[in-house]
Amino acid sequence: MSNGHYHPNTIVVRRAVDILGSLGFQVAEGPEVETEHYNFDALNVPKDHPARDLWDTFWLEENNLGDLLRTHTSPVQIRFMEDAQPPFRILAPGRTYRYEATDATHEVQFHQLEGLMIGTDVTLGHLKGTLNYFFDEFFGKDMDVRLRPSYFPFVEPGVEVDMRPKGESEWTEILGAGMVHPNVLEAAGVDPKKWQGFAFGMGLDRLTMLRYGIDDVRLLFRGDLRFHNQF
Amino acid sequence: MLVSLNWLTTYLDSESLPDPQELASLLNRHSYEVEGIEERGDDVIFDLDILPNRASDSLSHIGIAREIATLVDVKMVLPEGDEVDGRGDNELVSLSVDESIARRALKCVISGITVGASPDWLVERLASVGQRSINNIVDITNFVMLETGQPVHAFDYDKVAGEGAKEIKIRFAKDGETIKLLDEKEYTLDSSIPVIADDEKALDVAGIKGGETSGIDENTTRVLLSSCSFNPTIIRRASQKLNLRTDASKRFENNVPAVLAASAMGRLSSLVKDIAGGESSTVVDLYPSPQEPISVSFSIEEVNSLLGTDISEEEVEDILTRLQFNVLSMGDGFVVSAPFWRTDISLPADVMEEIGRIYGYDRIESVVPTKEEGNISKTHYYKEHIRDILVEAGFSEVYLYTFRNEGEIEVKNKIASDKGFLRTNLSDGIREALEDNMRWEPILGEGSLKMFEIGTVFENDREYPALAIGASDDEPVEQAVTVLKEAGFDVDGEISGGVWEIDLEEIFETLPDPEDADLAEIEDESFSFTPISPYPFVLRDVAVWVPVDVDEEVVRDVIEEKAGEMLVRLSRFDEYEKDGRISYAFNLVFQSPEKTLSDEEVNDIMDDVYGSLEEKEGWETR
Repeated sequence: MSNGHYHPNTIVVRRAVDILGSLGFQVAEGPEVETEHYNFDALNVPKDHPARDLWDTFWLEENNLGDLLRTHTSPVQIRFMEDAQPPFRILAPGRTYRYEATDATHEVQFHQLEGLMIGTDVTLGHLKGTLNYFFDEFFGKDMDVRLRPSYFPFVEPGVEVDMRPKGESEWTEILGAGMVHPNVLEAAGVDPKKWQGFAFGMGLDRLTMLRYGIDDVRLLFRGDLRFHNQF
Repeated sequence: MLVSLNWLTTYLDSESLPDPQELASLLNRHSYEVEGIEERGDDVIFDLDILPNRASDSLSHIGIAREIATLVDVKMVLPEGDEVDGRGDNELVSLSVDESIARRALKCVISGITVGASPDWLVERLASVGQRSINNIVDITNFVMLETGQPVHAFDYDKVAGEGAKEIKIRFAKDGETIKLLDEKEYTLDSSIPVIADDEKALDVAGIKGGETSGIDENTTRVLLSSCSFNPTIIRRASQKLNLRTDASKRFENNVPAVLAASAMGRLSSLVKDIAGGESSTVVDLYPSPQEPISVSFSIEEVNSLLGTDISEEEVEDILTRLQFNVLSMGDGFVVSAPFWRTDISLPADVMEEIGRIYGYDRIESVVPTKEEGNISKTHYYKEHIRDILVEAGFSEVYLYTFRNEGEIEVKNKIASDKGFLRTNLSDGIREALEDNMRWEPILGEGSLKMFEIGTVFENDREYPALAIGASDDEPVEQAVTVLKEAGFDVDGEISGGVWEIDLEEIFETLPDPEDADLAEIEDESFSFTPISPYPFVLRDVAVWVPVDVDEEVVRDVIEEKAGEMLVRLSRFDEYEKDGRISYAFNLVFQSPEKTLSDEEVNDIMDDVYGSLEEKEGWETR
């Protein structure tokens, strides 16, 4: 009997967990139906703040689970920090949602890979180093990593991260990251005077598409075996 | 936001600026993402992505010029405007303000103006960033906003009700109050919507859009100029409620500084007089609680320990001074306050970000954290383990959609009418996917419709991970379930129509914590996948007698070579031996990635295939 095939995202996640696992990052999970508190407020995105516009949110009718479909994997940071003692190194792959018209590069459901590292002396330099290590290993060649100023309410400084194979000229935008905002640590019960660290959120589907040259994100979710049997 | 380089250089010395590409690169690395850069005539237009934290200071040409002045250390010259000497009511305006709506309100009347076409330079400025010229007064108000970041408005003073010192109120609307705005639509307001009103009626929706009845026209001779600082939350809620997002509301909701309202008024009144003529009244300025700068203190160690840098105190001081912060050096630390336009700065981390980005993130050294043993996540491990087992058993993993046309949890803002609920099971999706795949089963090969999904399902009070396995008939599914049982998973459940599903949470609870993560090594060679052809496939058969000592592989090679690239699958469906010969029968599936193959084209290919088979000594097609 011939083997079946892993979903390409599964391959990418396993690779990521292997690479970052070797630095002590452990997998964490969280619910896909979230409360407004975990998805926004605890992440320093208060109600009526213009930053809410950065996410197109699916809101849910009254139910016993939550208010919305999580727009990012960042709530996993809060849930994990609430339940454990620092230092932390976690990696949270998971499904996320955005209210958006679907086309070849946009989907209402997508996947993110969230990273969080909290310690007493974790710096922006560690973020850069961790991501550089990850991309070198993941793509199997020397990669350059560049941080650019950006804004995500739950980090400060907030950065956009670009990468490229060493020697090439074009940068590829790959993820958002930054140093965890003191308000976020506080909301999760971690003393920001003592602990600090970085977080990043990477588009998993995008990473998969880059790796295999897939030009339409919808192929990942259609269950078409003509696609899946290639992996 | 579109920004014109010619416009910027009215505030900056163009000689000292780097070329546009280098300027874009500087902005990208230190300030904002440059989404576009385009030459238009003798101008260059930048498209900048200004995110919410910089929207209070950077949604304007002065804001961007200031940022550039910080980055390249050039002198900046601010445009001249009237001195605004704030005072109370004048002979034309009596102002009253609900302070929860407006932190500051300035009004001024210019009498004796002539409404007409704008001068060329003004038309050009607006056109460079995609704005149409309307008339001189309206153009000036738009220009002032794009220049300073402060939205301002001009009403026709003579359309405002009242005599003598006319009463102007900034208040919440009455429930049911209606107003026709400049977009010519009628809006029904309520007590959460702020308005600027005269004694009788609302003149506009405050901070969002002007009203039609008080609009400027060719007969206007007196204008009431207005520049206010509104409460960001009230403006945001009102614009959401009215579903009316404007250039003004976008700026106000991001906390335009109250100080700016005055200098913008000065600029506005001076431009109106220069361009449209007239005489100015005194300026009414209500500003009960002036904006205070916020002091932030931190040490140099904190800066370096957050950024992972070794920046000196002198350099920190230099960076913050360039950003026009007020800097006090105290022992090993700093007490600083941001310039009035940086309403986003209130915490030490905010200041450290400023230091980091101006210093340059590219100067931060990469440090890989020291390696450490991590814990294994139980649920993640077991999901991965199941994936290994099922893939080895010949099943392909799919990720299907969460949204379905029925379920227990309903989405408020549905993306489509048939995607209004969260799935309660995986089986329905698997069934549909199996059915879809039936249509191209010949391409996949017989017996290959085998798939599984591990995904989240949702009930009203519980969400949990589930596993579903499906195939075109029950047998392979039964086998898969058996393999799972043999691997120690206590699974049960009925197979219905080739699909089987279980609750993984329950299963995982009974399992021990994994001791080590012994998962399969997935072969992961980076490759480029082949796009799926949208064109129909064509089926053909061929059967050939060959001597018994000829391998099937040899026959396949001959067929594949002749059939060429359009052959997407070749599978043997029969093998039959008689009289020292063996007959192999194959299905051939043809498909082009570029077009619909005609019968003739496929027949031609098949003729070649037959020909090359017949050529061989002792071979005979049937």
